[in-house]
Parts: sequence; structure tokens; C-alpha cells
Amino acid sequence: MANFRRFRPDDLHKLSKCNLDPFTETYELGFYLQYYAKWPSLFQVAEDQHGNIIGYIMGKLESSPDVYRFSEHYLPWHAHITAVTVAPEARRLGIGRLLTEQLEVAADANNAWFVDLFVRVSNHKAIAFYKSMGYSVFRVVKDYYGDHSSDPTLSSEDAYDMRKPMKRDVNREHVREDGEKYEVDPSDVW
Amino acid sequence: MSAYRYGRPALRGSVDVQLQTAFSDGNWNTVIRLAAKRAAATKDPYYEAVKICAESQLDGTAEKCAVLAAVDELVKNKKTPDIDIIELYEWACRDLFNYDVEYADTLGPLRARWAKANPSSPLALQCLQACLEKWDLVSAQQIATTLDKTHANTADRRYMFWNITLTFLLSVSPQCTDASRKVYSLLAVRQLERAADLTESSAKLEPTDRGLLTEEEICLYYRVLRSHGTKEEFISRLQSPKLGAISQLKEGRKLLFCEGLDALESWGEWDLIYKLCREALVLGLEGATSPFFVCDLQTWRKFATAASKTADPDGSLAEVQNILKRYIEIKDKASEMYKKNLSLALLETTFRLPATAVNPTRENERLSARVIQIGLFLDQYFERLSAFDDIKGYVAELSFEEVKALMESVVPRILDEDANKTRKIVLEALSCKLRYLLSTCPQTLTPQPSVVEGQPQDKPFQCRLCSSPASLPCECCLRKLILDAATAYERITGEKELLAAIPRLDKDPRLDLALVMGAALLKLSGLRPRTSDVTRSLWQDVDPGLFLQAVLLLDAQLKETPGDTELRLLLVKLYLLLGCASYAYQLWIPLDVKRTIQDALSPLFFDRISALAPGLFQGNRGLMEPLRSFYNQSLREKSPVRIWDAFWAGSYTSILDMTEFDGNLRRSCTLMMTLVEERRAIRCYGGKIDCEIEEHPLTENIDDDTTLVDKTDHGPFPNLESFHGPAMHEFLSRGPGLSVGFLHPRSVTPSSRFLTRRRTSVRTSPSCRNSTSISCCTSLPRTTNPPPKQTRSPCATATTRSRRSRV
Ligand SMILES: CC(C)(COP(=O)(O)OP(=O)(O)OC[C@H]1O[C@@H](n2cnc3c(N)ncnc32)[C@H](O)[C@@H]1OP(=O)(O)O)[C@@H](O)C(=O)NCCC(=O)NCCS
Repeated sequence: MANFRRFRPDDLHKLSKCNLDPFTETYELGFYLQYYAKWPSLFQVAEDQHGNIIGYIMGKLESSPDVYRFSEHYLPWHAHITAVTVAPEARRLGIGRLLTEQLEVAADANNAWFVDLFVRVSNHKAIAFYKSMGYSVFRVVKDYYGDHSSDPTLSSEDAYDMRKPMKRDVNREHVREDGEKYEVDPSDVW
Repeated sequence: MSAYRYGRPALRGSVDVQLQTAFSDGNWNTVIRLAAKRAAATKDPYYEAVKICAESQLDGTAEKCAVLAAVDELVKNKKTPDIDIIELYEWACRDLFNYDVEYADTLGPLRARWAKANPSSPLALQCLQACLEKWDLVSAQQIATTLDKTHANTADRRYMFWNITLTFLLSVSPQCTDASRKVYSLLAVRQLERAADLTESSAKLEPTDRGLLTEEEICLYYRVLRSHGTKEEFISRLQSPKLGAISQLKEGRKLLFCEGLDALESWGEWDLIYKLCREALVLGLEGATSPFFVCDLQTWRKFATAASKTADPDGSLAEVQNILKRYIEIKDKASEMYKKNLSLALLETTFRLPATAVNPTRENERLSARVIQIGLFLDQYFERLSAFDDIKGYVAELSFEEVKALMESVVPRILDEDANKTRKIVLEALSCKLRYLLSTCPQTLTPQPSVVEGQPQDKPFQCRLCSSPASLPCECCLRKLILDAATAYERITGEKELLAAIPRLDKDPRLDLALVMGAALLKLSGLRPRTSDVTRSLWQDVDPGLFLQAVLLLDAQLKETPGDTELRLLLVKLYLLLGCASYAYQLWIPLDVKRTIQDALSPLFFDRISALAPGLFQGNRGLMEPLRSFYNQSLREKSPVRIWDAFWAGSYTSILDMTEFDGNLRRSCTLMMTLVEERRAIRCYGGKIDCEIEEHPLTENIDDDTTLVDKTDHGPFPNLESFHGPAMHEFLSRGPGLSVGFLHPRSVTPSSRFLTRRRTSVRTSPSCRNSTSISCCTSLPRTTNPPPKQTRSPCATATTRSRRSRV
């Protein structure tokens, strides 16, 4: 039922199975194309037999800009998962895991220290998903999201910044056991 | 990045503070006065340029035009201009590029001239970027060639590949003259071939060597070869030891394998596809790649199809099965997804086997290997949401005897008598879907003589399932199916245990049952795809009672399962057919179709909406605003969005794909729909149209001969139909395809006159690689001239040209 391959722009016309799901954000064209332009091999899709996209991951490789070099929040060379999503009909088949593992392979090949991502603290399924693959909370970013996914009376929601160390981080320097206790502001992350 | 993108350019550091301040404050009259003084005193042409630049900011037409004349002068005098002057003039002209001033005739050549004279300056790179962002490929290619020569054999390989990529882009662009097209094509291929030869012949390639190293460089080579080289060259290189698809797979690179298979398929090279798939799959088994690296359904499908087309299909298919068996032996290591792919591959190979191989003695024709394989697949996966979609194509291929065996002997036995109730009901829902599917398959009917015992027969077939006289579909079967589905539905709603189990299931079985009932009622109502006469009332062919029953039933289901997008979309279309546009709109809104997905999904609601409900636009002028703003934002620049990022990152295949995507978006049917619908609605109420379609900046690339591109995504519709007939969404359409709809003679209005005067025909857009979308070829009769265009630039100079001429 599925093929794994690199994203191509025409796939943007086939995103409905993923993006009509309320948990998946739809971005401006430039956002998708920026990833495709800069990190094409980190933008992978799973497609069904009819050409519909049933899962995708969008990622990047980078470090914090140099001006942050002496900041405690400076991030060394790492991979970042910007979006990962699987269509409801194709969940729990391991597609999300395969997409993420592909990105981790690329992160290791590029000598990254870790892979990180942000997730809403209320997105329990996604948190369980990441934890099952060895990600842990590194810090809590207060009011990172400008809305709340389940409570319309709230105007913001915290994010977990989750991480998984890559091969380069032999001494596990870039992860922590009790990340839930470390709170930072959105201005500290970038 | 050039300063003009962000605001006023900074004046040279040597300029005095007084002038600097006046310039940065936008105090243009002062700037003009001071710059004139400095020009007279220093004789430095830079000050003259500052003055002209300031004049261009005044309101008078003559002052505004001075900068165009100055640019023209620079272009004509053939001298190398000053880069600071170019920056100033480019900023001063910034608003004119969207109108009648062609960058490729003005600033582009000036930048190219400067870069050629100063190839080592970092500013030469900025010139390349500026030309690319204005999509002046001629100048960009010239700059890239210069930069490549200057930086040949440096470790930064991008210069070489920018040059090649731009030479190729130019060779396939309308910006290239026919006379030069061949030269550029050859140039691109030859440079890449030389690079490929170097890679093949070197033991190890250094980054400074002009060979092919990265995956992007290699895939660029194959793309160019496919476009401009010969098939033989492509095929021979695809099998070569270093640059071939297999060697790339060994390095963990899959792109070439996928693209190579696509190319071979387009040429019908099945023997090679067979060979390549075989080698690739064996790599996984032998540990040369990660085991399931190429185990995509696509690979298995192509492998099985190719095997069935070889000279020895039996032997080849046996080999496919042999490899498949070896994979099945290690499938415990695989993720669920690959396990499922392997099960589907098993189905695929069984269906590709010649009939004699599947059932050599033709014994037991009913319980054939094909039926058994479907049964085995369902044993594992019947509860999965995608089970029906996975098997429906195979079921529709079965013979009638096989169908009977499947439905009578296999499906009912998937579960034991004492199996859990919930699983039973899920299976029953699947069985109902299969029954519906079979009602759309011709093998369930036998033709009947049109006259029996002297009596003309009104039904052309006899149904082999229920023996009633029938047409396609058999009404008797559909009626029985509705009753059975309704009974199952009632059983669920009547049992607390079943209702409680629903949240734990992949999909609510009530939804499946409601869809089956709804679809069957629609078929019984007489609803069929409406491809031609849209003026004919729906109710001339459709029984309103049955149609409304379907709508009410599905609507009631949506109240139970409001999160189901398939059902919601189905209802949106049904209410539009009924003419209840405002209710359909209420159902549409929660789908939250926004930003990028609008191009593919908005036609599902908005196509021809103005004819149906112009009132929707009343008091809701923003109805089309999200669409308009998507196109305004995505097509603001002449270049594809983010193209410089792709150049900078050395993502050469991304550059080619983004260019193609951009070209299609500029010719999008949805874009035209956005403009047309809004104007028609305004006109309906006698409103004033601010800008006619042909004058609209977004139609700049739409010419009389443009083939519009329809990329509507019908993926989110439920589809219980078999491949023997039209898909469900075709039954729901209010007329022929999207693009033809714009051009219907009834819709002639002054605002859409240039659209509606065209002859129409439907064809597949040749420009869409790998695309099967239907596009509308619109062409104006040669004798008719397009309406005269207003010139919107403040003045026209020798450097302007009609915007239509660039299309
Ligand atoms: C999160 C998501 C990407 C997971 O994709 P998926 O393909 O279903 O996940 P996988 O099948 O690869 O799951 C791998 C493992 O993650 C865990 N997991 C996945 N979904 C889970 C869920 N709903 N609840 C608990 N654990 C879950 C399990 O341990 C699972 O292994 P298992 O199936 O063998 O038990 C998918 O649910 C999704 O698209 N959600 C909506 C979008 C989203 O929230 N994205 C993340 C934003 S940061």
C-alpha cells in the first residue's frame, strides 16, 4: 500500500489525506518549498497506490546562528523535525517511525549531535510516538503555540522540545533525564 | 541579497551626510538638488544616477520615465556600468518590472555585463541571484558561465552545476530563441557527459574534479539526458558500475532508481525494469542495502508486471515469487508497513501470473489461487481501514466464478462462528462494500437478447448474482444490499456493547454502512456523471425521493461522525447538486481548506459556484480572498518561490521540479476559477469590476494558446466504484470537468469574454510530467485578435514589450 520516496512539489496537490486532518497544519507554499529547496533529502513522503500522500516528514540540518554562540541556548549542529504526519487511515503501520528513522540516518550521515522537535504538551499520541523511538523531553517552551489544540478558551499552549542523541553524542551531553523541569521562553528558542 | 528587495539601497559611503540623510528620509526634491550639485562638481556619473533615482520617486510621468531612459542608454552604450548605479536603477524601476519593463532587456543584461567584467567579485554572485529572482534566464546563464570559468576546479562545485543547470533551464524555456535552443541543449548534455565520463574513469574523485559526485549532481545528469540525450545513452549509463541505479542504491541513494524505473516504463523497456528490480531487491536480501530499502509496493508492482511481459513469463514470475518468498522469510524483522507491502506484493504476483500457471488443470476454477490470496490478505487485514481500498482493484479483476467463491466461501469464513461481535460487524461492513463494488463490475451480468419470445426487453442483462433482469448496476441487488446494510446498522445502534467498542476500531462500521446505503440509493435514483448537457435539469433523470433519502441518510451519519472528511465532502457535493449552496458552505468551512492545499481542493466547492449561488458572495466579499492571497503571494515574483534557496543549496533536481511546478501554478485552472467566479458573481448583482480578467496581473501567463492545468485532488472522496466505471466524484459533478466549465457558452459575460470566446477541447497537458490530469486546451481562433491591452506603465520606451509576448 505504500511507497517511500522523496517529496516532489506536485505532491502538494495530493496532501488532502494528511492535511484535512485537524492535527496537521497546512503551511504557505514557500514554507514547503524552502525545505524542498534546502534539504530535499530530508523531505520524504509515503504514498498510497493511488498517488495520495499518506505520510510525510519535513526536516532540516542546522545550528543556531553565530550570534547565539555564547548563549546558553545555543544549539550545535543538529537535525530538526519540522513536521511529521501520517494520514489517519495509515496510522500504526510504522510509517511515522520509518520516516523518522530515515531522517535520523541522514542526521548521522551528516554528523549531527542530535535530532530535535517541538510538540504540543497536549499531543499525547505524538509524545508517545516520539518516546517509543527514544526521544525525551529536553525542555518546556512556555506558551510556544499561539492557541490551544483542545481548549478554545486558552490563548496559548506549551511545547515540549524533545531530543534524541545521535551517534556523535557518545557521552549523551545533549540530552537530559528531567527535561520537564527546565522551562524556557519562546524567545530562547529559534 | 540585493538591497532593493528590502528597501532603499544604501548610498556609497563616500557620499556626504547631507545627501545621505535626504536620501534615507525620502526627501526627494532635496536629493535632486544636492545630487545635481555634486554631479556638476565631481563629474561623477554616480551623482547623476542618484538624481535620476530620486526623480523616479516623484509623481510626474516625465520624471518617472527618466530612469527608464537612463537604463536604456546604459544598455545601448555597451560599456560596463557601475554596480552601485545598477543597484540604484534597479530599485528605482522596481515597480515597473511587474508591468511593461522587461528585466531581461534592461537590468539583466547590465548585471551580466558587470559580472563578466568583475567575475571574482562577490557582487557577481549577487548579480546572478538578482537575475534569477527576476527569472531572466538569459542573463543568469551568462553570469553562471562566467562564474564557472572563474572558479573552475575550486572545491565549491556549485559554480559548475549552476552553469549547467541554467544552460539546461534556458534550453527548455520560452526565453530561449529557437536558433539557440539546440546549442544550449547540446552544451548542457555534453558538459554533463564529460563529467560522467570522468567519474566513471577515476578511481576516486576529489571535490575539485569536474565529475559527478553528489546525488543531486548525478540525478541532474539523468534528468538532462532524459530530456536532451538518447534513450540508449540513458539506458547504458543507468546500468553502469559507478553511476548506475544499483551502485547508487548501494550508497543509500534511491532517487535515481525511482526516476530510472519511471523513464524505462515510459519507453516500455520491461526487460530492463525486470532486471533492475530484481537486482535491487536482491541487494536488500544480501545485505548490500538495508533489507527493505526498495520494498515499496511500486517496486513489486513493476517487477511483477515486467516479469509478465518477458519472453518467459512463467520463469520470470517464478523468480519474482522466489525473491518474494525470501523476503517473507525475513518479514518478522520488518515494520507493519513492509509486511503489508509484502502481502500486497504476493497478491500482485498472483494476479499477474498467466491463467495456466495459476490453475494449470482448470480444476476448482472457483477457489482459484487468486481468490485464496485475497482471502489470506483479508485474514490479516480485514479490520484495517484501508482493507477495502487495498483489495478492490483485485476483486474487480476476478471472474464471476471467483467472485462467487470469494463472497460465498471465503469472506464468510474469515471469522469463526464464536468470534467477537465487533469483529463480525466490521467484516459485515466490509462485505457490504464488496457487494456494492461488485454491482459496478460487468462480470456479474450476462447480456440478454433484446427481444425474447417476440417481447422487447427493457433490461439488457441478466444479473448472475440474483438472476433478475438488470442494467448496470443491478437494481435488485442494490435494493437487497440497502436492506442488509440497514439491518447491520440497526444492530450496531441497538447494542451497547458494539457502540462502546467503536472508538477502539480503525473506522466506525456505521460510516461504511451509511456510505454503502447512500451510494446505492444514489445509483437507484438514477444519478450518473453529467458530462455534457448541464442545462438539463437534474430531476429529469434523477428520482428526487431516492436522492433525498440518500442525502438525509448521509447527513444523519455526519451528525454521528462529524470528523469524517470523506463523508463531509460527499455531502458538500450532494448539497451543491441540490442547489443548497449556503448549507454546503457551512459543511465546507470546517474542512479548513487553506493556504497551499487550496489549489487542489478549492474547486471541489467553488467550481461554478457563482452560477449556483451568487448570493454567497453578497456581504462576503472575502469569499475568494484566501485563494486570491494564496496566488498573489505564490506568484508575486516572476521566479519560482524559493528558487535561489535551491541554487544556493545545490539542489539541482529541486530547481527543475520547482520550475515546472511554478509553470503549472501560473496556468492553474483553480487560479482562473478564482478570478472568473468572483467576477461573474459581481456582475450578477450589477456590481463594478475593478479589474477585468485579461488585465489582471495573475493572468499574465495565460495566453490565448495556454493549456490550463487542472490539479484538482479527488483523493479525499470515498470511492466504492470499481475501475470498470467512473469514480464516485464523477457522479457528483455538476457538469463537465473544471476547465471546460469556465468556457461554457452560457457564461459569456464582458468580464470573461476573452475566456469564453475560445474553442475548447479536453486533452492531457503534455507539460505535466508524470501527470495524468486533464487540462483544457483553450485556443482563440486565429482570425480573432485579443482585446487591446491598456498600457499600465507610466510610459513606454524602447525597452518595453507587450506582456503577452513573453508567455
Ligand atoms: C504521531 C504520528 C505521526 C504517528 O505516526 P504512525 O505512523 O501512526 O506511528 P507508527 O505506526 O510509526 O508508531 C510507532 C510507535 O509510536 C507509538 N505510537 C504511535 N501512535 C501512537 C498512539 N496513537 N498512541 C500511543 N502510542 C503511539 C507506538 O509505540 C508505535 O509502535 P507500535 O505501533 O508498535 O505500538 C501520527 O499519529 C500523526 O500523524 N498524528 C497527527 C500529526 C501529529 O501529531 N504529528 C506530530 C506533531 S509534532
